[in-house]
Amino acid sequence: MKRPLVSLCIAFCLGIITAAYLKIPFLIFYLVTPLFLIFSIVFIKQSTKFSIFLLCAVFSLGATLLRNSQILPNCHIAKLVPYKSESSFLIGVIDNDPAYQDKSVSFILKAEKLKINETWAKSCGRVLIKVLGKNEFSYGDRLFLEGKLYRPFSFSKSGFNYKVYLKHQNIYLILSIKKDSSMVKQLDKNVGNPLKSFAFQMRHKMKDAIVKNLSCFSAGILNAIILGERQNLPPYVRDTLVYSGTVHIIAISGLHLGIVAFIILLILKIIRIPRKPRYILTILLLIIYCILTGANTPVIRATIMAAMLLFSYFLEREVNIYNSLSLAALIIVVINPWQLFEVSFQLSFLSVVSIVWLSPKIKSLFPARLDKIPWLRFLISIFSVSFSAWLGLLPLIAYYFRVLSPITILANMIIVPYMTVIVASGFSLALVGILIPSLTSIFAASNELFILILFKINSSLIAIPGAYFKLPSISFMYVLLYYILLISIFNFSKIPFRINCLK
Amino acid sequence: MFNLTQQERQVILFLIIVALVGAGINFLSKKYAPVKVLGSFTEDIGKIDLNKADRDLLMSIPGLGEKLTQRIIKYREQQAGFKEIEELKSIKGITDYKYERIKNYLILK
Repeated sequence: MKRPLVSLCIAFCLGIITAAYLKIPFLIFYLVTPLFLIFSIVFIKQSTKFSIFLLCAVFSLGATLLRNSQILPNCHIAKLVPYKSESSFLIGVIDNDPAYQDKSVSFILKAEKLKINETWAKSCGRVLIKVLGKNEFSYGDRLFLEGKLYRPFSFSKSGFNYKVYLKHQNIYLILSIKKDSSMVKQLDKNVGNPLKSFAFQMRHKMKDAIVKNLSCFSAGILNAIILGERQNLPPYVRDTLVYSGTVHIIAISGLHLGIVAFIILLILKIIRIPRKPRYILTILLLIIYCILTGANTPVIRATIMAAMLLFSYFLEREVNIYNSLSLAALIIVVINPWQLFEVSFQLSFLSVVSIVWLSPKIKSLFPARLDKIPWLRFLISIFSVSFSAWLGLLPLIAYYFRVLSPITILANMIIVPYMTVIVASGFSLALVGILIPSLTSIFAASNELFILILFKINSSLIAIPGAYFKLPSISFMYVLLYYILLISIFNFSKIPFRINCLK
Repeated sequence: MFNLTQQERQVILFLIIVALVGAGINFLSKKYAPVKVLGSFTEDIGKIDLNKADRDLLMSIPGLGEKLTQRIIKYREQQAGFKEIEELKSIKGITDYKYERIKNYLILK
């Protein structure tokens, strides 16, 4: 088997799903895993038996890790605070880049101490803090806060449950602080991770360069595309992107990371950095870019895959895309098994699987002679990629967003290649804004134009009759049935594909 | 099935053992770390043990005031603890509506 990580990843994820839906205690899974491991060791020289026991061990390890993540330590703030809390006092360190909105700021605080009944208790866990009024905060600040602690409400909006969403980020409490700066005191500065601090400083500089030089409309879109910051993105722009099925362009993903990696490699080549150090330096810069954009699941996935690809170039070995995708998934779910149930995780991995698995098959349905004409070959390639991503994500998008957009295929064929221009020019603007501010006006004008064209293309596409349909809510059973059908058609049917799949 | 060399198999097994030992240590440190805990919260995050919770903890439940809390504690002492959460309904002042409101905050260990 050339792709051992795929089976291990599937077994691990199945273990997580089993533990999430069956109420089996942690200790049972924990005691079963070593048993399978012992059998794997005993049968290490017999390929089939070893593989079966190894898969069982990985399955129960996945279940063990999920169960373990559900157990909170005794010092966890969620265990120390009763349901109804009056004013609470809390000391902790800011763990992310604070998000500023019109009249408030929110951030995640790593709790260190909590005051209960006149005594301070050492505590741990993450709390979402919402502060009303204008305050300046940065990553790594140690704060003393007074406010009302409460558990997030379980309201749902089109299938999205806020309480569950926060729980998947290990957040069980929210601290709300009203307009009074005396309730917030800064005790210390820069106590966070230096690499994260550096990444967030770079993010602020890039954001400043974008905001100062572009109109509000364009800056909102470019900040979302380059930095993954969507607070200032006009809601109607987001809606039009959802309808055309191109909303992924405002979520940092493989497309963005690929373009960024290409730009970095090009710059390092121009300044004559030797080939092997160039790859390592690019990996480091991509990790900084990943942190800078908030390290969401799609960007972590893309960073791990890009790092594996560049490392394979460094070692001069071939890389298997299914293996690197599985490794990325394993790393993400080992760190936080609940990510498996997040929409961004599912869409990100499924889109790559669909493209890698289906697009060569779809491409092979076209006559071979068309491949000889370069522009037609390009057109067939982007159609195959766009169509396979659409086929792969169609039921999930219908399930989560209740939209069916046939226009997605055409929209992605136009917008995805065009995104290269936007990301490259947006990055140039941000970098020039930091390094040579006097030159920014030229870059800003072209960026304004590119973003306007992007918006016009998107608006024109969704104006086509039948471009998208709003759907009623559908059962998850239909989603599963769709995938069974899709796999049957493309794997077991007698459609004469010229090539089987990407090796 | 897996076309792995002996060395690759050993590496995979080693990584799983490391992850398993790590999960065990993590579990023990979470379970037995000596930290001052307010009241008797259970593993089921935030749920209050009806047989162990003190007056303040019971009063932290939305819908329970001082009088009802006192009645619950008195009933608990008389009956040597609750056997079912539904027994709350037999306490004066806990109507079906009130019971529906508070039952999700409670647990019997």
